[in-house]
Amino acid sequence: MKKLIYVLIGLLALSSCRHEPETSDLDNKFMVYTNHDHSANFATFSTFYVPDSILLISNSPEAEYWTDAGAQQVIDAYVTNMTNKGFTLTNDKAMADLGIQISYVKSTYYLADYTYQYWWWGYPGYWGAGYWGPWGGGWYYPYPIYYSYEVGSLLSEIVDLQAPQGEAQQLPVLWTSYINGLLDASQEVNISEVVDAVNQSFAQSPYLKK
Amino acid sequence: MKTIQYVAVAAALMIGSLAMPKRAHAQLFPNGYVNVDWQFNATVDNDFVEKGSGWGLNLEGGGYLGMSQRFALGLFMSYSTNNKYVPRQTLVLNNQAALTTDQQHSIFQIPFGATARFRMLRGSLFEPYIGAKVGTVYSKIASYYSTVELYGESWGFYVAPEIGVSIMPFGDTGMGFHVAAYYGYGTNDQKILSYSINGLNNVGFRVGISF
Repeated sequence: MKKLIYVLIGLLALSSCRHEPETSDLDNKFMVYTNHDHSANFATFSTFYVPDSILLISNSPEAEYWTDAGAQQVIDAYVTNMTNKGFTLTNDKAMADLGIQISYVKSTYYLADYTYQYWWWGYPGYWGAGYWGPWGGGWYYPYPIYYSYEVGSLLSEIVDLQAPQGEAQQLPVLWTSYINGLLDASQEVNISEVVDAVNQSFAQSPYLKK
Repeated sequence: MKTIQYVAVAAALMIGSLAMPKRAHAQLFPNGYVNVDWQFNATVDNDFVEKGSGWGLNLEGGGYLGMSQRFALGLFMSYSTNNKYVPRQTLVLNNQAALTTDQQHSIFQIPFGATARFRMLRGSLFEPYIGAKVGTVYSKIASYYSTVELYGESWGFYVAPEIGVSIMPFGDTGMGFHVAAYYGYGTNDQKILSYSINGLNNVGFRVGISF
């Protein structure tokens, strides 16, 4: 009887532990974080310059740039928002008051799990465990299986090109934006989500205006 | 998480051994008791998480003292989780920074320490009692957003008055059921993102077995 009670206690303890919230319930849109130099008066700046490509941060020893149509949509979002804020785009970097530098990081995370259900288990017509007999619990792998997910991060910074120049001088970053989220399999969806996030980064920065 | 489970099982076994009789008897613990309860916990005056949650457990045990066998001292440990989905919004983190995201909030609490109770009736079908728990409480307050888990851990002093009843329908076996209601307060303070939590107020009830 005592053993039975201890087993019961153990089962109860094991069945009721910390219940972590379901992150799958999140809306899967990108998070947008912005920060800025509180002493900066953006109304004193008039023009801005944006490079025509996005720096790709990776393990490559050489600098890589994202230049396709998707990158151009992202760059255009910055130009549109800056223009709407009253700043003027210039193609002459030497004449610009502000510079916008945009970088993108794509990271792949690999996990090992015993319980993850491959998506193809739900594919119509895929072999169900019931095909082989009365295994009502479905499939399981008695060994770890590996899967991955991809995360995209867009880093952008507005730098003060009017700051004093020289060997001993530093270039001030007046505004920074960090956009981060899980990537979809569709590049079009990802670009759309990034553009929405760029728009949000300006919307939540009301001080950033001419 | 497995560590917490092991601690819970170890605590239950320890509590059981504390109440173990020296000699065999019809009752499992003739001078003591053990309760294993499912716990429903609701936070009070706290918008960080949902009010009520059934993700909780309470383990306690003790021994009745003196000739009257009405006053008991013992040990307890419980835990509970309260979560809440927070739709997408822009948080102003300070005068300079802003964060737009949706979130999953979570508060996990593990109070443990000493417990005392006084039962108004003894040897009857219903044994109502009043009691109190005093100890410390560990809490983990977390926000999950995007691919981030941001959390803070804290320890605080814990006190919890309680009323309950042990229901003993099986005579000398000492086996029965247990129902209780409690208010618990922890002094834990925590700040996370733009949220500030000053003290953990909880009310709840427990339903379980007693032996």
